[in-house]
Amino acid sequence: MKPNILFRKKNDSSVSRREFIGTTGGTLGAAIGISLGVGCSQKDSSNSESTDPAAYPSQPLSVICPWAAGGGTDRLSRFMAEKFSSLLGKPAVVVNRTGGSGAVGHHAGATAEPDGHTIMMATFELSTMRHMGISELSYQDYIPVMQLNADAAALIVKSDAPWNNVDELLETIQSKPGELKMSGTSTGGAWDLARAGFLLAADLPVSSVIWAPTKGSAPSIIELLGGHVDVICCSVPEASSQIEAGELRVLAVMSPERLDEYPDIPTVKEAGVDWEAVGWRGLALPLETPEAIVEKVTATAEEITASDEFKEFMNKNGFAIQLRSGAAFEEFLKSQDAQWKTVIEAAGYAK
Amino acid sequence: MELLDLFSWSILIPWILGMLFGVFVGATPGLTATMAVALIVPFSYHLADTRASLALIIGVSFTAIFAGDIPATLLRIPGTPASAAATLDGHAMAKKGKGTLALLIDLFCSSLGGIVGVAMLVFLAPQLARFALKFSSYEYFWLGTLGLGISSMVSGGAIALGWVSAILGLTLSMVGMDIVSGAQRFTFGSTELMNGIEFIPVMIGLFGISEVLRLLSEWQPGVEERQPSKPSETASPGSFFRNDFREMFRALNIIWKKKWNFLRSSLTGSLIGALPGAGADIAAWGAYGAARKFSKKTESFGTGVEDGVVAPTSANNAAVGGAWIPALVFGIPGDAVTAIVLGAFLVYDIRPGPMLFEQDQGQVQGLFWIALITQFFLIPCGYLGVKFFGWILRARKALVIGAVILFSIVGAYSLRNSLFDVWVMLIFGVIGRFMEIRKAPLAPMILGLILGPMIEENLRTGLIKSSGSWAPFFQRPISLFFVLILGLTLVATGISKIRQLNAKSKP
Amino acid sequence: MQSDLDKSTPSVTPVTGLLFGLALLVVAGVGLLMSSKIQSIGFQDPSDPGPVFFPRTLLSFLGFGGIFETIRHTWRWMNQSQSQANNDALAMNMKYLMVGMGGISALILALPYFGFPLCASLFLVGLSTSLGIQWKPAVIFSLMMTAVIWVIFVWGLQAPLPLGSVW
Repeated sequence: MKPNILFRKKNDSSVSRREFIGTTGGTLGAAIGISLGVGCSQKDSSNSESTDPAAYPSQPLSVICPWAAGGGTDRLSRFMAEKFSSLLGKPAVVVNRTGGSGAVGHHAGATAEPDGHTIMMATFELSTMRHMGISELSYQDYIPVMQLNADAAALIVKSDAPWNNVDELLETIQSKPGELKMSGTSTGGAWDLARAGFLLAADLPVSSVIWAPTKGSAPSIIELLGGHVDVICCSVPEASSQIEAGELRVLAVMSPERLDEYPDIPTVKEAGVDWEAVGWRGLALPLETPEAIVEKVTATAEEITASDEFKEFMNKNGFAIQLRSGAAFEEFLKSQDAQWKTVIEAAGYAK
Repeated sequence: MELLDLFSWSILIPWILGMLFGVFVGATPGLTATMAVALIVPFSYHLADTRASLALIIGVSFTAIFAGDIPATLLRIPGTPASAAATLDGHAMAKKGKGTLALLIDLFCSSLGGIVGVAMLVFLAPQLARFALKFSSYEYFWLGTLGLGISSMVSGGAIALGWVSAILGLTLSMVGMDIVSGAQRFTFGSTELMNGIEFIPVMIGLFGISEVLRLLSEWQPGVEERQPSKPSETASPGSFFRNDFREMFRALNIIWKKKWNFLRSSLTGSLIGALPGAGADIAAWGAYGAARKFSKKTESFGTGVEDGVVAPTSANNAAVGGAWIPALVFGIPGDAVTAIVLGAFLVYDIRPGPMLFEQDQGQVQGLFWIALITQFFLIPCGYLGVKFFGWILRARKALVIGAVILFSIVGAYSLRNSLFDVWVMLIFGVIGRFMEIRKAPLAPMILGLILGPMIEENLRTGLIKSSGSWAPFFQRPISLFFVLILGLTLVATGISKIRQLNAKSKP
Repeated sequence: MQSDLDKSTPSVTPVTGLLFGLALLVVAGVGLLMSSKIQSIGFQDPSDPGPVFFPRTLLSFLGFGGIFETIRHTWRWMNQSQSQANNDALAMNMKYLMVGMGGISALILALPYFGFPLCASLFLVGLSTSLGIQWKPAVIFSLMMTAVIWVIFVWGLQAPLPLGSVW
């Protein structure tokens, strides 16, 4: 079978390449190339035999990704799964449980067997789905393990747009309500909520700009390039290639401080709008997981995130690193929950 | 990257094995090209040579569409939605015992169409990408409507039934969360339905399970026959290859006769593919509709004419090359497959986007060469796939039925690890069988399900952007162009139907 | 797809058409009833025709189609002799169809409890023997097929299949 050949190649290859392994390939190689036994023991993790912390992990791990294969969260999940697998010595599989704006996957993560063999890759939507009436879940249904990333929302315009800063943009919005078109996600998606909160913080009604919904930031960038919308709201890395090429311009980011990678871009706070909005990703475990296992998973996650490979991976994929473990992560989730509850209710998105 | 450097074993072996893997995955209904690429990307990290990794990824991503035509032609189960048009004339040819010839025509057209697509990518990428920026919601709305309209008018059977099938598909696509307003529609409180009805289980059900149900309902115990084996498949190895070579020459000869159709289809395909919001599925139907219109034998389409094989397959493969245009020029993927490939490129320090063409000539050229040579490798790899599947289908039918059921179930399940999708598949198997007994075509339904969001969201977003005015839908030049095409197609189809009726009533 | 048949074989029987028309009516009716429950969350742009616009329009089309189809085939049904009515396409070989449908449903129901390997091989043995394959080749084929799928999906494609919660 072809995996054998590929696997053999891996062993000849240089160390740096071998160490830069993105995902579950090792598992595959192990399952087919080395031992059939490993594959045979691959079970659905709901069927656990041992919750003894000392023996953890006693069976293959799975990482639940609430979004589809190929997206950013999926890439991060696969990277983490590969690293967990090599550090803990058991295969780790990414299970994409998509649907319901992330509700299906988050639900699967919360209700998994609490033995540490199923790790949830939680995302931003966990902070909003309860308030939007999509699901009953909130951060309180998990043991937060570690936040991995936080991408701040940004206001991006075409480079020939008439506005040079946030104030000028706000002025236009105020003087001509309902004329400017913004885009970035679906209605009620992460970046729509970010701009809604931004407008509210600037004392403008949510309806003072038209939100043209799209499937995601990529199509909205095309709409912006084609001149069909005026401003988009998404994270800076998502539009980085257009920004570097000088076709698009960032007016401001909605982060607490200026971004390390883009020190020239001001924050909205500097323009006097007290507002911040980040999309985040992080690891979580089901509630009843024994403490010893939580500690082991946290320690492993800390080891991974301390590595250069992690930094390289995040850099290449344009994910801003933001590490918070345990209590700090929980604190962050709590504040996010409160922040978005206010915005969702004020914007009239609550059910 | 030098061209000749690509021909070393350390690159060729993963490249070709990857393409064989792509053929296998693409030809198995339920396994998508997206899945194939997502799985192969981690492998590519293990290869020492970046070029080998790129060749592996590109090889897989370009093969799956052709491979989808194999089960579409032989079993009438499209492997990918872009192959649904191959269930018409391709399958009709297979039923006449010309399955191998149909697939060889398909294979050569796929490869040649792919070359046209790559050529457009190499020579016209920046211009085409700028052109594609002129498309906004208004244009995408009409494009989706046009694709669906054509498929419902050309899928065979009464046109009214084609529309019913298309509207059924559109209605199904309404299930789930509406991205324009965030409302839940027809979800009955189920989280599984929130993301809508996945088209893959529906497609497997409509085409695969319904076919199984047909075979079962017509089953005659005891008189089970083996697939009629043609002499070329049972004779000695020597004549086996001689016969196949003869078929290949016949296929090439046919394509030469249909060269204008081929050229028109490939160009249409790569143009539609270059639009970030449209894909190989619309391209295939657009080309099929055009070929039918331009043909002198419009009425014989659907009965196994060669033109009907050439058009969709040239177009859907050219569309793959076309889809790379916005991906490379803007760094913005048009579909899920391209999205994964772009993600992988980042790891290899290739940053698609406006700067790519200015900065990294060597790398871009390397990519282009790999894409181009992949089209040539497609012929032997695809041929092996055709042979392999032909061989499997010669097993006893009772066994084939069981295997198809099992593969369908596993394919529907593994899409998102949910048994819910397996039930969806079974239900649509029954619906598909029923619709076939009523002689309603199935392809418009699956296309309606896929294009539904595109049509609805773009209409509504367009209205939001224009503050409620319908004018841009008819006044913008490209919109107007699509409206005219749609109108002309409607009128022409109507006229030909009336003529048919007149011809019938006269004698 | 069927256009060749359309020309050679007599067209659809009235009973089939009637059933199809009624099915369309039921879908349209239920859908229209359900569509009143759709409520848009949050702020709806005044120019957006709203989340019910498309479903209602489409379902109305289906409803009209259903009415037309029902009337047309009722008319045909009333105007034809008894012998033709019995010769209906829906009167098919129900035995094997039921075996297949029952088998598939049972397989899907049992999968989460007994796991893929056991259920799939039992299903294949059952299906192929009832379709006239001797049991020995049937068993060999079933085990091979199940193993092949397991290897391809679980090992090769990393797509986990259920192993069963019973054991």
